[in-house]
Amino acid sequence: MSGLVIASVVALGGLGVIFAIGLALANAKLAVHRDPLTQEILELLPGANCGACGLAGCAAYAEALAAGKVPANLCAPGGAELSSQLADILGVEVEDQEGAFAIVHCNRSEAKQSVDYHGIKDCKAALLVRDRIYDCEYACLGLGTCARECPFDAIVMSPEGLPIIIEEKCTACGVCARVCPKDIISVEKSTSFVHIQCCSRDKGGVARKNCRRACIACGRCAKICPVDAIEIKEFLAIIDYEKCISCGKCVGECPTGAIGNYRQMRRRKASVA
Amino acid sequence: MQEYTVDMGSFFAILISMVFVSNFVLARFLGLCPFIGVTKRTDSAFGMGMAVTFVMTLASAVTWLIHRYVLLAHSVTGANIFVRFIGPETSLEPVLRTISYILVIATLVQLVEMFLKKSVPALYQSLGIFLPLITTNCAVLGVALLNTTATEEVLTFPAAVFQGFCAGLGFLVVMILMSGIRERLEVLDLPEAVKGIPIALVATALMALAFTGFGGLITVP
Repeated sequence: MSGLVIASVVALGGLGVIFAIGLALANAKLAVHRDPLTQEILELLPGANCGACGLAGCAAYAEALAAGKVPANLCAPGGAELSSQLADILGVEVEDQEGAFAIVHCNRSEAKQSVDYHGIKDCKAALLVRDRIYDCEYACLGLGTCARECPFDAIVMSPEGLPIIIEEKCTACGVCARVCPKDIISVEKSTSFVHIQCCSRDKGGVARKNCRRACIACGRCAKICPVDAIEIKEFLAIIDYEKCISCGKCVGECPTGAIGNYRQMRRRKASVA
Repeated sequence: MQEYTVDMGSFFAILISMVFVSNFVLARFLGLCPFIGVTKRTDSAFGMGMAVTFVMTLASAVTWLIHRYVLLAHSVTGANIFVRFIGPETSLEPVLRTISYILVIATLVQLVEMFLKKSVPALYQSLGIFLPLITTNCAVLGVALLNTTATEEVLTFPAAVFQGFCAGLGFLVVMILMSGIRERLEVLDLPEAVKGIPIALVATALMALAFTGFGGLITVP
């Protein structure tokens, strides 16, 4: 009987020792040297894993930062505050980071629906069935994929089914711009106030028939622009934000009201706040 | 001691039996924790399936060796290394079987964890707590016990390792099927009460029903 007890103890103990040695060897070979700096940076980052920095997530950005491969001002959600903190830790200088917001380039108010869609409430799913819900092929489908994907809950859907960006919450991470299957959303600097609220590349007549607020490519905005920042490409006015001074002259000139001026909206909000 | 004759036919029978007929998740209902926990996305489900397959295969090999050379009585196998202490008739099997198998599995899971942390950190992140939980995944212990104690006869070493591998393969197949289904379920407009795990369990039940259809496919010797 005592033989059984001893054998059991020796057998199990022996196995334990063998496995322990095996694991110790494996650990020596496979050890991950984690930089404490990486950990420190990771704790500072917002942890939304939005990918605005262009890396695979906060952990990847922290690693790249610690290795000094990337600048410290890439984190859009963290903003200027975070980049200065990061700069302190890393002992580097950062350039000022300008704020930015997501901008919706569609304003299909009073546009007619060409189909009555009752399928899965998701823009990508709807696109599997048909290429449009409204008459305009380029119009926002209004099923709110961007609002659901937004990691900061900065998008709400209006009663007409258009995404509204809540700029106080928007961190310009660009997730909405990436998930939108119609490519209606883009991220623009907060110093730009004037935006084309249409992305129809239909000819003027067709665009106008489909939507009262469409860009009909008349070119009046391009003519009045004092700095030649607007160009008509594929029947759509495009603003060159490098040149645009946000004077807002084109806004009044547009016959269909397809150009939006965000200056007043932002000023109003600033005064309320 | 009797052993199976090793031929291609019996290996094929093991493959079909482990992947479809008596699939660990859908027929034996083992390993449901990672099955529900990690099937939200296909890539992490695939990673989990691969990790479990790896652990099952290696665990099958190591536990078979332990069973033969440490646990079974010398009079049965003629190979017990403790025969001098316990005599030819005593078997350590009833005392040490479960605990030594768990020891093997825990060690292997540690190994997999180290390996993934080093080489696929993204997968390591997405598996999270479910990776160390493979240790307590009853499917892994299940395959080790099945290899060594389910029948009067004992499987040969290659057959046991192959059976472990196929059990992992069956787990992997079901994980991938389930993750595909759950990615679809994600976009459906479901009542709040059944969203997530409840509807996943309903889907599991239906899959298990479907898998009973494989029942008469082969007769396991």
